[in-house]
Amino acid sequence: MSITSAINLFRQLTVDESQVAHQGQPHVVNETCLDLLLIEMVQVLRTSVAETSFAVPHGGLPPSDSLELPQSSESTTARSNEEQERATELLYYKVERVGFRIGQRLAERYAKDRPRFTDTLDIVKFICKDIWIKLFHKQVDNLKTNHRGVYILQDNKFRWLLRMSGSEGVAHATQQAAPYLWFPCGVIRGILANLGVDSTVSVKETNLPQCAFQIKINRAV
Amino acid sequence: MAKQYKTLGEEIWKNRVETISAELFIFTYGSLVTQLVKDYEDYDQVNAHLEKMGYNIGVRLIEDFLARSGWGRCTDFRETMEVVSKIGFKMFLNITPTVTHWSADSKACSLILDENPLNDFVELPPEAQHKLWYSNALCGVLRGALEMVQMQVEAKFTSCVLRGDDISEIQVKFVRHLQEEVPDPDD
Repeated sequence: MSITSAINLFRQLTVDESQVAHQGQPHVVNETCLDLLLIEMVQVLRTSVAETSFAVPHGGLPPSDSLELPQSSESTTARSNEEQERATELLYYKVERVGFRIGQRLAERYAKDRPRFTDTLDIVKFICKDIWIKLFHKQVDNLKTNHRGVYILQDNKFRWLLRMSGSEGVAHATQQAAPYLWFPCGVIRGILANLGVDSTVSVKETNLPQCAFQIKINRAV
Repeated sequence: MAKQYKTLGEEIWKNRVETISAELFIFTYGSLVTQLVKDYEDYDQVNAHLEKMGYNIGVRLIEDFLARSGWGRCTDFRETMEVVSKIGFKMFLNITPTVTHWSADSKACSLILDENPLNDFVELPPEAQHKLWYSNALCGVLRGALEMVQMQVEAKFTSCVLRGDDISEIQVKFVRHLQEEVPDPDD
Protein backbone atom coordinates (compact mmCIF):
# COMPACT_ATOMS: atom_id res chain seq x y z
CA MET A 1 0.00 0.00 0.00
CA SER A 2 2.77 2.35 0.88
CA ILE A 3 4.37 1.64 -2.45
CA THR A 4 1.23 2.46 -4.40
CA SER A 5 0.72 5.67 -2.50
CA ALA A 6 4.32 6.57 -3.09
CA ILE A 7 3.85 5.98 -6.79
CA ASN A 8 0.71 8.06 -6.75
CA LEU A 9 2.46 10.82 -4.97
CA PHE A 10 5.29 10.63 -7.44
CA ARG A 11 2.87 10.78 -10.32
CA GLN A 12 1.19 13.80 -8.82
CA LEU A 13 4.50 15.48 -8.36
CA THR A 14 5.59 14.89 -11.93
CA VAL A 15 2.25 16.02 -13.30
CA ASP A 16 2.46 19.15 -11.20
CA GLU A 17 5.93 19.88 -12.40
CA SER A 18 5.08 19.50 -16.05
CA GLN A 19 2.07 21.74 -15.56
CA VAL A 20 4.21 24.36 -13.95
CA ALA A 21 6.68 24.18 -16.78
CA HIS A 22 3.88 24.41 -19.26
CA GLN A 23 1.93 27.20 -17.64
CA GLY A 24 4.88 29.13 -16.30
CA GLN A 25 7.03 31.38 -18.39
CA PRO A 26 7.75 30.09 -21.82
CA HIS A 27 11.34 29.04 -21.67
CA VAL A 28 12.14 29.73 -25.25
CA VAL A 29 11.35 32.46 -27.72
CA ASN A 30 11.84 32.83 -31.44
CA GLU A 31 15.47 33.49 -32.28
CA THR A 32 14.43 36.29 -34.62
CA CYS A 33 13.32 38.34 -31.61
CA LEU A 34 16.84 38.46 -30.26
CA ASP A 35 18.38 39.09 -33.68
CA LEU A 36 16.15 42.08 -34.25
CA LEU A 37 16.64 43.35 -30.73
CA LEU A 38 20.42 43.22 -31.07
CA ILE A 39 20.32 45.20 -34.31
CA GLU A 40 18.24 47.91 -32.72
CA MET A 41 20.07 47.88 -29.41
CA VAL A 42 23.23 49.35 -30.89
CA GLN A 43 21.14 51.89 -32.77
CA VAL A 44 19.21 53.01 -29.71
CA LEU A 45 22.39 53.35 -27.68
CA ARG A 46 23.98 55.35 -30.47
CA THR A 47 21.04 57.75 -30.35
CA SER A 48 21.36 57.87 -26.62
CA VAL A 49 25.03 58.83 -26.89
CA ALA A 50 24.17 61.63 -29.32
CA GLU A 51 21.26 62.93 -27.29
CA THR A 52 22.46 62.68 -23.75
CA SER A 53 26.22 63.05 -23.86
CA PHE A 54 26.73 65.99 -26.19
CA ALA A 55 25.73 69.61 -25.87
CA VAL A 56 22.66 70.55 -27.88
CA PRO A 57 24.23 73.02 -30.40
CA HIS A 58 26.37 70.32 -31.88
CA GLY A 59 23.74 67.60 -31.81
CA GLY A 60 24.36 64.84 -34.29
CA LEU A 61 27.45 64.86 -36.43
CA PRO A 62 26.69 66.95 -39.50
CA PRO A 63 29.60 66.92 -41.94
CA SER A 64 28.03 69.72 -44.02
CA ASP A 65 28.97 72.41 -41.47
CA SER A 66 32.61 72.34 -42.35
CA LEU A 67 31.88 73.14 -45.99
CA GLU A 68 30.35 76.51 -45.23
CA LEU A 69 33.33 77.97 -43.42
CA PRO A 70 36.44 77.13 -45.40
CA GLN A 71 38.89 79.04 -43.19
CA SER A 72 37.96 77.14 -40.05
CA SER A 73 37.27 73.82 -41.71
CA GLU A 74 40.41 72.25 -40.35
CA SER A 75 39.63 72.95 -36.75
CA THR A 76 36.03 71.90 -37.27
CA THR A 77 37.03 68.56 -38.70
CA ALA A 78 39.54 68.14 -35.95
CA ARG A 79 36.86 68.83 -33.41
CA SER A 80 34.29 66.62 -35.02
CA ASN A 81 36.89 63.89 -35.29
CA GLU A 82 37.53 64.24 -31.63
CA GLU A 83 33.83 64.16 -30.92
CA GLN A 84 33.40 61.15 -33.11
CA GLU A 85 36.10 59.41 -31.17
CA ARG A 86 34.46 60.31 -27.93
CA ALA A 87 31.09 59.16 -29.24
CA THR A 88 32.60 55.83 -30.22
CA GLU A 89 34.14 55.49 -26.81
CA LEU A 90 30.85 56.24 -25.09
CA LEU A 91 29.04 53.82 -27.34
CA TYR A 92 31.59 51.19 -26.45
CA TYR A 93 31.07 51.87 -22.77
CA LYS A 94 27.29 51.59 -23.01
CA VAL A 95 27.15 48.50 -25.20
CA GLU A 96 29.73 46.75 -23.07
CA ARG A 97 27.83 47.72 -19.94
CA VAL A 98 24.59 46.25 -21.26
CA GLY A 99 26.42 43.01 -22.01
CA PHE A 100 28.10 43.05 -18.61
CA ARG A 101 24.78 43.11 -16.77
CA ILE A 102 23.50 40.21 -18.85
CA GLY A 103 26.64 38.23 -18.13
CA GLN A 104 26.17 38.69 -14.42
CA ARG A 105 22.65 37.37 -14.60
CA LEU A 106 23.55 34.47 -16.86
CA ALA A 107 26.23 33.39 -14.43
CA GLU A 108 23.81 33.45 -11.53
CA ARG A 109 21.25 31.55 -13.49
CA TYR A 110 23.37 28.81 -14.97
CA ALA A 111 26.11 28.32 -12.42
CA LYS A 112 23.90 27.81 -9.41
CA ASP A 113 23.45 24.06 -9.77
CA ARG A 114 26.95 23.04 -10.54
CA PRO A 115 29.80 22.14 -8.26
CA ARG A 116 32.13 24.88 -7.08
CA PHE A 117 34.71 25.95 -9.62
CA THR A 118 38.22 24.77 -8.92
CA ASP A 119 40.16 27.50 -10.72
CA THR A 120 39.93 30.17 -13.39
CA LEU A 121 40.45 27.67 -16.18
CA ASP A 122 37.44 25.81 -14.88
CA ILE A 123 35.36 28.98 -15.13
CA VAL A 124 36.59 29.73 -18.62
CA LYS A 125 35.71 26.17 -19.63
CA PHE A 126 32.25 26.71 -18.16
CA ILE A 127 31.84 29.71 -20.48
CA CYS A 128 33.15 27.80 -23.49
CA LYS A 129 30.86 24.86 -22.95
CA ASP A 130 27.78 25.48 -20.84
CA ILE A 131 27.20 29.14 -21.57
CA TRP A 132 28.08 28.91 -25.25
CA ILE A 133 25.73 25.98 -25.71
CA LYS A 134 22.94 27.86 -23.98
CA LEU A 135 23.46 30.95 -26.08
CA PHE A 136 24.62 29.65 -29.42
CA HIS A 137 23.74 25.93 -29.49
CA LYS A 138 27.41 25.04 -29.90
CA GLN A 139 30.68 25.05 -28.03
CA VAL A 140 33.59 27.40 -28.56
CA ASP A 141 35.68 25.87 -31.34
CA ASN A 142 39.06 26.50 -29.88
CA LEU A 143 40.38 27.55 -26.49
CA LYS A 144 43.99 28.61 -26.08
CA THR A 145 45.79 29.78 -23.00
CA ASN A 146 49.33 30.77 -22.04
CA HIS A 147 48.68 29.54 -18.48
CA ARG A 148 49.49 33.02 -17.22
CA GLY A 149 46.09 34.57 -17.27
CA VAL A 150 45.43 35.00 -20.99
CA TYR A 151 42.77 32.93 -22.72
CA ILE A 152 41.67 33.05 -26.32
CA LEU A 153 38.25 31.77 -27.28
CA GLN A 154 37.76 31.19 -30.94
CA ASP A 155 34.42 30.63 -32.59
CA ASN A 156 34.55 29.87 -36.29
CA LYS A 157 30.91 30.60 -36.91
CA PHE A 158 29.89 33.14 -34.35
CA ARG A 159 26.13 33.13 -34.41
CA TRP A 160 25.61 36.86 -34.06
CA LEU A 161 27.85 37.51 -37.05
CA LEU A 162 26.45 34.84 -39.32
CA ARG A 163 24.12 37.07 -41.27
CA MET A 164 26.31 40.13 -41.45
CA SER A 165 27.80 41.34 -44.66
CA GLY A 166 28.88 44.59 -46.21
CA SER A 167 28.94 46.16 -49.60
CA GLU A 168 32.57 47.23 -49.36
CA GLY A 169 34.37 44.01 -48.64
CA VAL A 170 35.10 41.98 -45.56
CA ALA A 171 37.49 44.45 -43.92
CA HIS A 172 34.94 47.25 -44.00
CA ALA A 173 32.15 44.96 -42.82
CA THR A 174 34.32 43.78 -39.96
CA GLN A 175 34.86 47.35 -38.88
CA GLN A 176 31.14 48.03 -39.05
CA ALA A 177 30.44 44.93 -36.99
CA ALA A 178 32.66 46.07 -34.11
CA PRO A 179 29.91 47.45 -31.83
CA TYR A 180 28.07 44.16 -32.12
CA LEU A 181 31.15 42.40 -30.73
CA TRP A 182 31.62 44.72 -27.76
CA PHE A 183 28.37 43.29 -26.54
CA PRO A 184 29.53 39.66 -26.16
CA CYS A 185 32.80 41.00 -24.68
CA GLY A 186 30.68 42.57 -21.97
CA VAL A 187 28.74 39.37 -21.48
CA ILE A 188 31.93 37.34 -20.97
CA ARG A 189 33.37 39.92 -18.58
CA GLY A 190 30.08 39.97 -16.65
CA ILE A 191 30.08 36.21 -16.20
CA LEU A 192 33.68 36.21 -15.00
CA ALA A 193 33.08 39.13 -12.67
CA ASN A 194 30.11 37.44 -11.09
CA LEU A 195 32.19 34.34 -10.47
CA GLY A 196 34.86 36.42 -8.78
CA VAL A 197 37.34 36.96 -11.58
CA ASP A 198 38.32 40.46 -12.59
CA SER A 199 39.22 40.52 -16.26
CA THR A 200 39.59 42.52 -19.44
CA VAL A 201 37.90 41.10 -22.50
CA SER A 202 38.60 42.25 -26.01
CA VAL A 203 38.08 41.10 -29.54
CA LYS A 204 41.28 39.51 -30.72
CA GLU A 205 40.49 39.18 -34.37
CA THR A 206 37.51 38.96 -36.60
CA ASN A 207 37.05 37.63 -40.03
CA LEU A 208 33.32 37.41 -40.49
CA PRO A 209 31.76 35.19 -39.30
CA GLN A 210 34.80 33.91 -37.44
CA CYS A 211 35.73 35.68 -34.29
CA ALA A 212 38.13 35.35 -31.35
CA PHE A 213 37.83 36.86 -27.90
CA GLN A 214 40.76 37.46 -25.63
CA ILE A 215 40.31 37.25 -21.89
CA LYS A 216 43.03 38.76 -19.76
CA ILE A 217 42.71 37.95 -16.10
CA ASN A 218 43.61 40.92 -13.93
CA ARG A 219 43.15 39.34 -10.59
CA ALA A 220 41.61 36.05 -9.66
CA VAL A 221 39.94 35.82 -6.29
CA MET B 1 -12.51 30.43 -37.76
CA ALA B 2 -10.59 31.42 -34.66
CA LYS B 3 -9.44 27.85 -34.33
CA GLN B 4 -7.74 27.96 -37.68
CA TYR B 5 -5.44 30.82 -36.61
CA LYS B 6 -4.58 29.01 -33.44
CA THR B 7 -3.70 25.79 -35.21
CA LEU B 8 -1.56 27.59 -37.73
CA GLY B 9 0.16 29.59 -35.01
CA GLU B 10 0.99 26.45 -33.10
CA GLU B 11 2.13 24.64 -36.18
CA ILE B 12 4.51 27.47 -37.09
CA TRP B 13 5.84 27.66 -33.55
CA LYS B 14 6.53 23.93 -33.50
CA ASN B 15 7.97 23.42 -36.94
CA ARG B 16 9.09 26.59 -38.60
CA VAL B 17 10.81 28.53 -35.87
CA GLU B 18 14.30 28.38 -34.42
CA THR B 19 14.28 29.03 -30.74
CA ILE B 20 16.71 30.30 -28.15
CA SER B 21 16.57 30.41 -24.40
CA ALA B 22 14.10 33.07 -23.38
CA GLU B 23 16.37 34.19 -20.57
CA LEU B 24 19.00 35.62 -22.86
CA PHE B 25 16.35 37.61 -24.69
CA ILE B 26 14.71 38.79 -21.49
CA PHE B 27 18.02 39.78 -19.91
CA THR B 28 19.07 41.64 -23.03
CA TYR B 29 15.89 43.65 -23.13
CA GLY B 30 16.04 44.32 -19.41
CA SER B 31 19.64 45.40 -19.49
CA LEU B 32 18.92 47.74 -22.37
CA VAL B 33 15.99 49.33 -20.53
CA THR B 34 18.23 49.81 -17.50
CA GLN B 35 20.83 51.53 -19.65
CA LEU B 36 18.26 53.86 -21.19
CA VAL B 37 16.88 54.78 -17.78
CA LYS B 38 20.40 55.59 -16.62
CA ASP B 39 21.12 57.64 -19.75
CA TYR B 40 17.98 59.70 -20.02
CA GLU B 41 16.98 59.88 -16.37
CA ASP B 42 13.49 60.58 -17.60
CA TYR B 43 10.89 57.84 -17.91
CA ASP B 44 8.80 59.59 -20.56
CA GLN B 45 11.78 59.71 -22.86
CA VAL B 46 12.62 56.10 -22.13
CA ASN B 47 9.06 55.10 -23.01
CA ALA B 48 9.32 57.02 -26.26
CA HIS B 49 12.65 55.46 -27.16
CA LEU B 50 11.42 51.96 -26.39
CA GLU B 51 8.44 52.56 -28.63
CA LYS B 52 10.65 53.85 -31.40
CA MET B 53 12.98 50.90 -31.06
CA GLY B 54 9.99 48.60 -31.22
CA TYR B 55 8.82 50.35 -34.35
CA ASN B 56 12.15 49.70 -36.06
CA ILE B 57 11.98 46.08 -34.98
CA GLY B 58 8.41 45.77 -36.25
CA VAL B 59 9.36 47.09 -39.66
CA ARG B 60 11.76 44.16 -40.08
CA LEU B 61 9.76 41.64 -38.14
CA ILE B 62 6.79 41.74 -40.49
CA GLU B 63 8.93 40.25 -43.26
CA ASP B 64 9.84 37.34 -41.07
CA PHE B 65 6.20 36.95 -40.14
CA LEU B 66 4.99 36.93 -43.73
CA ALA B 67 7.75 34.62 -44.86
CA ARG B 68 7.14 32.05 -42.16
CA SER B 69 3.37 32.17 -42.00
CA GLY B 70 2.60 32.68 -45.68
CA TRP B 71 -0.47 34.55 -44.55
CA GLY B 72 -2.31 36.60 -47.14
CA ARG B 73 -4.55 39.62 -46.86
CA CYS B 74 -6.86 40.05 -43.92
CA THR B 75 -10.42 41.06 -44.68
CA ASP B 76 -10.87 43.48 -41.81
CA PHE B 77 -9.25 44.86 -38.69
CA ARG B 78 -10.89 42.22 -36.53
CA GLU B 79 -9.24 39.49 -38.51
CA THR B 80 -5.92 41.35 -38.43
CA MET B 81 -5.94 41.45 -34.66
CA GLU B 82 -6.81 37.76 -34.41
CA VAL B 83 -3.86 36.99 -36.66
CA VAL B 84 -1.58 39.30 -34.67
CA SER B 85 -2.46 37.54 -31.46
CA LYS B 86 -2.78 33.90 -32.47
CA ILE B 87 -0.10 33.74 -35.13
CA GLY B 88 2.12 36.80 -34.63
CA PHE B 89 2.61 36.79 -30.87
CA LYS B 90 2.56 33.01 -30.88
CA MET B 91 5.37 32.56 -33.35
CA PHE B 92 7.67 35.16 -31.83
CA LEU B 93 7.08 35.04 -28.09
CA ASN B 94 5.04 31.85 -27.73
CA ILE B 95 2.13 33.67 -26.12
CA THR B 96 -1.39 34.39 -27.36
CA PRO B 97 -2.86 37.56 -25.91
CA THR B 98 -6.64 37.74 -25.68
CA VAL B 99 -8.25 40.14 -28.13
CA THR B 100 -11.16 41.85 -26.45
CA HIS B 101 -12.97 45.10 -25.61
CA TRP B 102 -13.94 45.80 -29.18
CA SER B 103 -15.38 49.23 -29.76
CA ALA B 104 -18.77 49.45 -31.46
CA ASP B 105 -17.27 50.46 -34.80
CA SER B 106 -14.70 47.64 -34.68
CA LYS B 107 -11.82 50.08 -34.87
CA ALA B 108 -10.32 49.72 -31.43
CA CYS B 109 -9.64 46.79 -29.20
CA SER B 110 -7.40 45.60 -26.41
CA LEU B 111 -4.81 42.89 -26.22
CA ILE B 112 -4.71 41.35 -22.78
CA LEU B 113 -1.32 39.81 -22.12
CA ASP B 114 -1.95 37.01 -19.67
CA GLU B 115 1.73 36.34 -19.73
CA ASN B 116 4.53 38.46 -21.03
CA PRO B 117 7.99 36.94 -21.20
CA LEU B 118 9.59 40.39 -21.09
CA ASN B 119 8.23 40.85 -17.59
CA ASP B 120 9.88 37.74 -16.18
CA PHE B 121 12.36 38.42 -13.39
CA VAL B 122 11.44 42.10 -13.48
CA GLU B 123 10.54 44.28 -10.55
CA LEU B 124 10.31 48.01 -11.04
CA PRO B 125 11.81 50.36 -8.47
CA PRO B 126 9.09 52.39 -6.69
CA GLU B 127 9.86 55.65 -8.48
CA ALA B 128 9.45 53.97 -11.86
CA GLN B 129 6.20 52.24 -11.07
CA HIS B 130 3.94 55.03 -12.19
CA LYS B 131 6.00 56.26 -15.07
CA LEU B 132 7.75 53.50 -16.95
CA TRP B 133 5.95 51.27 -19.42
CA TYR B 134 8.51 48.53 -19.29
CA SER B 135 7.33 46.56 -22.32
CA ASN B 136 6.58 49.61 -24.41
CA ALA B 137 8.64 48.17 -27.26
CA LEU B 138 5.74 45.81 -27.97
CA CYS B 139 3.53 48.78 -28.88
CA GLY B 140 6.16 49.97 -31.31
CA VAL B 141 6.44 46.53 -32.84
CA LEU B 142 2.69 46.47 -33.50
CA ARG B 143 2.78 49.93 -35.04
CA GLY B 144 5.84 49.21 -37.20
CA ALA B 145 4.71 45.82 -38.40
CA LEU B 146 1.18 46.91 -39.28
CA GLU B 147 2.42 50.03 -41.02
CA MET B 148 4.34 47.82 -43.41
CA VAL B 149 1.07 46.20 -44.45
CA GLN B 150 -0.56 49.56 -45.02
CA MET B 151 -2.35 49.93 -41.72
CA GLN B 152 -1.71 52.85 -39.46
CA VAL B 153 -2.51 52.02 -35.88
CA GLU B 154 -1.99 53.56 -32.48
CA ALA B 155 -0.93 51.19 -29.75
CA LYS B 156 -0.38 52.00 -26.12
CA PHE B 157 -0.25 50.27 -22.79
CA THR B 158 -3.15 51.13 -20.51
CA SER B 159 -2.17 48.87 -17.66
CA CYS B 160 0.74 46.65 -16.74
CA VAL B 161 1.19 44.09 -14.00
CA LEU B 162 4.62 45.53 -13.20
CA ARG B 163 2.88 48.71 -12.12
CA GLY B 164 0.69 46.76 -9.75
CA ASP B 165 -2.29 46.48 -12.12
CA ASP B 166 -4.22 43.23 -12.33
CA ILE B 167 -3.62 42.72 -16.01
CA SER B 168 -1.36 43.95 -18.77
CA GLU B 169 -3.35 45.56 -21.51
CA ILE B 170 -2.36 47.12 -24.82
CA GLN B 171 -4.96 49.26 -26.49
CA VAL B 172 -4.81 49.17 -30.27
CA LYS B 173 -6.65 51.72 -32.35
CA PHE B 174 -7.01 51.53 -36.09
CA VAL B 175 -6.34 54.92 -37.67
CA ARG B 176 -6.47 54.51 -41.43
CA HIS B 177 -5.38 52.50 -44.40
CA LEU B 178 -2.23 53.89 -45.95
CA GLN B 179 -2.14 54.34 -49.68
CA GLU B 180 0.31 52.20 -51.54
CA GLU B 181 2.86 54.54 -52.96
CA VAL B 182 2.98 54.39 -56.71
CA PRO B 183 6.37 55.20 -58.21
CA ASP B 184 6.54 58.42 -60.18
CA PRO B 185 5.84 57.58 -63.86
CA ASP B 186 8.41 60.15 -65.00
CA ASP B 187 11.31 58.27 -63.45
